[in-house]
Amino acid sequence: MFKRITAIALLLFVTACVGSPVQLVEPKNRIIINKQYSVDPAVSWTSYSTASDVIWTVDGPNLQSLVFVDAVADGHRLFAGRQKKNMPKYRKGMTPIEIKDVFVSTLGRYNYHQLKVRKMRPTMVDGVRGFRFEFSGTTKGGLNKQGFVVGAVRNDKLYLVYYWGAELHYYDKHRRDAERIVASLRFVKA
Amino acid sequence: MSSRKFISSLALLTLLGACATSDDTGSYDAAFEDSQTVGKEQRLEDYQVANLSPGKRPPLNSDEAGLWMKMDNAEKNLKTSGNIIHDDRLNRYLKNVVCRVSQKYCRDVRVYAVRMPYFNASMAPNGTMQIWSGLLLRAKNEAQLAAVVGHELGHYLRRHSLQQMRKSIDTANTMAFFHVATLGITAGISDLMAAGSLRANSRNHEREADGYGLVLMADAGYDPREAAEVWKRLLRERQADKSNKGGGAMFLSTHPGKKERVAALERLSKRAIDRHAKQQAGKRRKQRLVAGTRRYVRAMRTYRATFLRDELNLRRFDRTQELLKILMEDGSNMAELHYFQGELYRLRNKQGDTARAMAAYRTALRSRGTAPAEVYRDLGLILHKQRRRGPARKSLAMYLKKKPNAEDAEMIRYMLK
Repeated sequence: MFKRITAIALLLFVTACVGSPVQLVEPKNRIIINKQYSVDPAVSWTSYSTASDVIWTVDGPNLQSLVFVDAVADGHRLFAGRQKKNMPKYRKGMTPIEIKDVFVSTLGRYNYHQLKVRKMRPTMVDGVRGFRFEFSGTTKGGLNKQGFVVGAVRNDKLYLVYYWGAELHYYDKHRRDAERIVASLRFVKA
Repeated sequence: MSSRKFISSLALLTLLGACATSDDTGSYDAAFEDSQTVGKEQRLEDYQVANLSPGKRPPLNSDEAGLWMKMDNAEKNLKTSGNIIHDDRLNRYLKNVVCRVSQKYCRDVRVYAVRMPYFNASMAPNGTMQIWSGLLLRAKNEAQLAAVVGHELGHYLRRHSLQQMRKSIDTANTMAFFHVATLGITAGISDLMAAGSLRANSRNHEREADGYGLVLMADAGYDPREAAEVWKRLLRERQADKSNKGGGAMFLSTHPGKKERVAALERLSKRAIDRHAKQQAGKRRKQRLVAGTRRYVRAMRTYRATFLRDELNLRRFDRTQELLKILMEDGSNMAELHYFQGELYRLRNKQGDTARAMAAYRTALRSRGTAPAEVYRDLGLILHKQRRRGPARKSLAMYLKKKPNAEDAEMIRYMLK
């Protein structure tokens, strides 16, 4: 009885902390993200949403997470969540390099440190010319993390998906699955 | 008089006594008063409160030991924090400056350079000193850095944290008594008065630390006139910040106002210079008071671009503009500064800023010093957006020539195709 109450309390606590209920995503069917595009999950993930993102994880978001950022409109910042003053914003007409700078400086404002970018190059996202780059950084608590970002601008909106995780073990654990998911992205036809 | 009225009156008198820690601008002079009494040869130990001897820890059964233990734990977290700058050369340089100012306490001070773009330094009672990168960006010379280091050492030597902790406990006890005695009726007012009292105490500590900082930096051979210059530069930035209207309530501020500090430090720097001159009289090899500008500029050369980028990321464009103006007045590596001026315009993106950014990048390429290779890239990207293909290609190609392995080299090559 006590265990049941504790489990319910824990579930209530977690759902109170995130924007939507925590769900299990299974690799049976394609999943539609934010009504904007669909992806093939590849493996099972735990999924939840925040104000701006849909986040998938296997071992917990601090260890690794695949983040689908809600489409960013002209003049808006990347993440709609925590309010901070003077955040960098996406503007239509930005080059991929400028978008990369917005992403990196946004993470810096959210207390990630020693941020470095590698291997920025062009890529295709469902037929749309886009970009990708790898990055690494350290959390305030000193955890080294690394990740990759894939992005594209379509109809003046910026679409970003990034996968990152703890440098030790967790990033590599589902990196290939994350790459497959990103490669499977298909925009929803209007 | 009824017993309840008597107790309330007693509580009120006690409270007013506690609040008697009003602002005492005489605290600035404490270091000079102390040093007058100990004769010509000044020893650093003479400035200390009680028995803070180099290398000694407080007795385990003391409240001070409890405070040190908390600070030791905080230091463990600091060491592994993601924003600690693990650069041996920078850390060695900072430690040298700290040791020059702290003398026999050098071994007791552990210095951590922290990558935070704000002007700040702090010292914990157990000897942990943090120096933030925003301070390193803003100081013009070693003497200005030494002024801040000396100020923090003043807090350490005078054990201000311990005094503040004891005062907080006493004040909390007084408030508890007062709330009970007055049945909690004046709870809001008394809490405000308590906060004001603690803040006033803190301001007096800051004044005292400023005074000690001057004494310590002059004893270490740094020109004490540079101490006021630090605050004048910060005042300029603050005044340029259009979003920060009004200085904030002094009553609840933990620091004296900047204008008060500048005036006090200017006054006291003359005293410090006279004192130094008396100390040097009769010596065969006289110690000169120096600013240490060249040494400082050389030490910060490789880090300034990183610190400027962090500053720009805050997107406080008014303040950063004033900071760039101040750094340009200092005159070191103008090419780099003009590049970051261009970056400020590009990121600010007000009407006309694109043209201003291009002009600033071009000025960077003509100026004394070395601009980052990114000046070619950022100029090229603007030209590319303006569909000026020829000049864009030329600029981007130059970027790749200077930085063939840049993180975005492949992206640029793709744009050039």
